[in-house]
Amino acid sequence: MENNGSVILETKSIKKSFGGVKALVDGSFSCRQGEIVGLLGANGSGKTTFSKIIMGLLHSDAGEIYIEGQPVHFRSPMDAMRQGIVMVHQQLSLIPDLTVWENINLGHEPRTKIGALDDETARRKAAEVINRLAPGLSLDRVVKTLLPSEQQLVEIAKALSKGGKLLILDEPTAALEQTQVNRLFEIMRELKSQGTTIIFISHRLGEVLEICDYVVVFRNGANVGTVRFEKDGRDENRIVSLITGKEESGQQNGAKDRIRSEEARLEARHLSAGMLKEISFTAHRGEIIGIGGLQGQGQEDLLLMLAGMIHLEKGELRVNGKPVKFHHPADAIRHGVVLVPGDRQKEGLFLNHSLFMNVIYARFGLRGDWLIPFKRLREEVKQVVSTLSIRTESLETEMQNLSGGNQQKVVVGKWLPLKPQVLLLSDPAKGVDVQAKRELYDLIRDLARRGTSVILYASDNEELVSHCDRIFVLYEGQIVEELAGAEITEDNLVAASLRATVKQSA
Amino acid sequence: MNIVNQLKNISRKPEFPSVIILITVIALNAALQKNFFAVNVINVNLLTFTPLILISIGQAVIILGGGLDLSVGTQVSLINVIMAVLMKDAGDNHAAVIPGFLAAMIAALGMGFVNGFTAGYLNLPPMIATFATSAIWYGLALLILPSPGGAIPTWLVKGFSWKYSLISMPLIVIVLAYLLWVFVRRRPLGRYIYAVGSNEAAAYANGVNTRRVKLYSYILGSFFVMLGGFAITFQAASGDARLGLSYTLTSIAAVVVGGIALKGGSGNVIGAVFGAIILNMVINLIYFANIPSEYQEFTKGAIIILALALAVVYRRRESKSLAIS
Ligand SMILES: Nc1ncnc2c1ncn2[C@@H]1O[C@H](COP(=O)(O)OP(=O)(O)OP(=O)(O)O)[C@@H](O)[C@H]1O
Ligand SMILES: [Mg+2]
Repeated sequence: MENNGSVILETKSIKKSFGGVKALVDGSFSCRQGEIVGLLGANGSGKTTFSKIIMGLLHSDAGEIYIEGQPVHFRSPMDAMRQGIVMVHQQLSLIPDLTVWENINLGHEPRTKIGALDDETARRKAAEVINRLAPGLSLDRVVKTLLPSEQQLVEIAKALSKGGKLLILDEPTAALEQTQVNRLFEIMRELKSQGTTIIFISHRLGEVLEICDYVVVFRNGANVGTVRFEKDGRDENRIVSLITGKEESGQQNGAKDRIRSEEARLEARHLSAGMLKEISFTAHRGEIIGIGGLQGQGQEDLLLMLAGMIHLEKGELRVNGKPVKFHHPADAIRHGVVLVPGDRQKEGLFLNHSLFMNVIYARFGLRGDWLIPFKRLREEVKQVVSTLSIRTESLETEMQNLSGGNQQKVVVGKWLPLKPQVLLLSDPAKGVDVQAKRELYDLIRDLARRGTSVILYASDNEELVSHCDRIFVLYEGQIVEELAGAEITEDNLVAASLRATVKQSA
Repeated sequence: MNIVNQLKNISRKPEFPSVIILITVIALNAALQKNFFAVNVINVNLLTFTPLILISIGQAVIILGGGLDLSVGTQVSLINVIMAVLMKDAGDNHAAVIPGFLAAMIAALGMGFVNGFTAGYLNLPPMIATFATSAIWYGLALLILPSPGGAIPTWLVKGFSWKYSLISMPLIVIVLAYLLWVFVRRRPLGRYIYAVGSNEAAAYANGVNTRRVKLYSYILGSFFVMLGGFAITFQAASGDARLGLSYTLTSIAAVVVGGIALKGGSGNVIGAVFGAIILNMVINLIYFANIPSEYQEFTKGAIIILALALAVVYRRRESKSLAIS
């Protein structure tokens, strides 16, 4: 079926540079009414820059934009919104001190006849979207107290409640788990049937194949091709080779080829803190342990607790057989227990400091490590940048000027030179592109092979299933089931997560 | 159950610690000062507290919007000298004070506009920009009135101290000023002031005209500062370019004691009112406790640090427990 709706958006060779960095060299694109278009590309290929230009948040250096055939020059997001263009931002555009419902209505508050804020209507409007997208989320929560995934849902809800003819979703699913993604897709399909056009950006190919009509691929700031599913089929390899620019062999190197060791690295005995109750397990040398379950069952808290960010109320923790007490994250780091946090902007990075500084800050938790000459550190940082293929202009580039996926690589990469004993990962591949994700997990597996034990939480079940030796299913702060060996499949994991709910409520 | 929940909600409010501090200083004051609760003592106290209360409301609005105004003190000075000079010969002719009021109001809104323009449109850091403008206002005030002088007609001075039992002119002005803020808070502008103060880039991405919001927050702030300037002027009954200087930092302290975050976006304006009353009461306390004069400043500083610490530490604990629960 060739879509014969009218062309909603057309762009012609948009260019944009930041200083010496060419973010977009040929941003050409077009889409019609009622289509869902996937916009794909490696980290730093210019997807966000392109979207922001359409939104009027950035100004292009050259090129033309047409909305329904009319040339437009948006000077600010207000101009774009007036034309019915709405965007979900990769770096969320939420107001931390306002509540969920205030955020959802921000910028288009309903008013009473006398011009006052009509909070009742505003709440009702917010409730409508939230009930569909994130049932159970309280409208009165202050946004800064929400989990990353909940914040992401609020960001999406905000865009949906604005309505509009063109919806740009910049990695809306990076922090979401399957059920949440399904809810979003249901709404997207409905919008599509009502004639809304959607540009969907994601690094999760499975999602793109499921929801999109066709995909457009950007590489190094240029449109390098379109794959129409109707015509070309849902050919994953073809898309991946467009993204990477290399021939795709199709073989996945997910082999769990490590030798199991019985040497205990991290032992948790009856740990309790906050919502976590009686957590006991042993992580062996070289083992990769996954933490699964529905979202918000204490997975993130568990990692925070092991990293010394949440204080233990009860229980005992041992590292390499020795009992330890973590009062501060620094204590954990000194014992080789390091965390890649889930909220990179808040806990993982100094956004206005350079890439170089961000990588070496990881060392500051270590005693006696303050006098290493910068020259040697520079070599080390260069190593990190090249192992993770971080796309940056230089080591001095400010963190906030890196693309989202490249920022994420830094959060993980800064720990590599320290050769951690226990690596705690909270959604480490969030927003990381296909190839880099593979490289990242290769690296994690490599660390494990050399003796690090890894505890991994990922919102994407596929990541857990393909990389973990064992998976613990969490429900309401307790480990309710353990999957190992051949039991580890996506179906089993989903079933186990749901079973937990049934078992507990029965 | 409901009451427990309500209490919990109240204790979560950012101005909660300032209420506790306020109750404490009132109790101490009452213990030291005889007839503290007598009607005329209350009225006299309120009269002297009024300028700081109004100026702190102005400072609070600006800080909530992510700004800071180091020029409120010299704004007060300029308003004071303008009025003292223009009203000096008004005598009993009521119409003759109108030019003085008009000029003061134009000056106030103009100063708010300039501050808001430098912070909002030129994007200069407010701490430095308003430090610079504060020198300009002070210079203008000195030009207009190089040495203390001028005069305010007695009927105006009397009018401002009008009272009927507990209802007094200062109280009416404070209530009206606060109602003006409530009016703004109930409009989109009020919501946007919080949004811009909390995360300017996000507010902009949502289509909020952040520059204009900042401009308006400074103009509105200056309007409240102007009311504070009137209050001082009617008490001093004459002009002095140095009159307002001490209010700048005191108003910032009042805002912080009142539970408003210096980085903007969170807190309530009513907290600034509490903060202003607290700081004034501390000065009263020192006076009535018969502290030798050479220790007074020292004690004042120590008490303010204590109040600040209470307010700030409490806030930090609250936000931490919220983040984890
Ligand atoms: N404000 C900025 N200053 C300097 N460089 C920037 C800025 N914003 C983006 N860049 C650079 O432009 C390039 C494109 O970035 P962009 O964010 O558009 O990538 P992306 O395709 O969205 O990547 P990701 O999948 O990681 O989100 C990157 O190399 C990035 O470092
Ligand atoms: Mg991006």
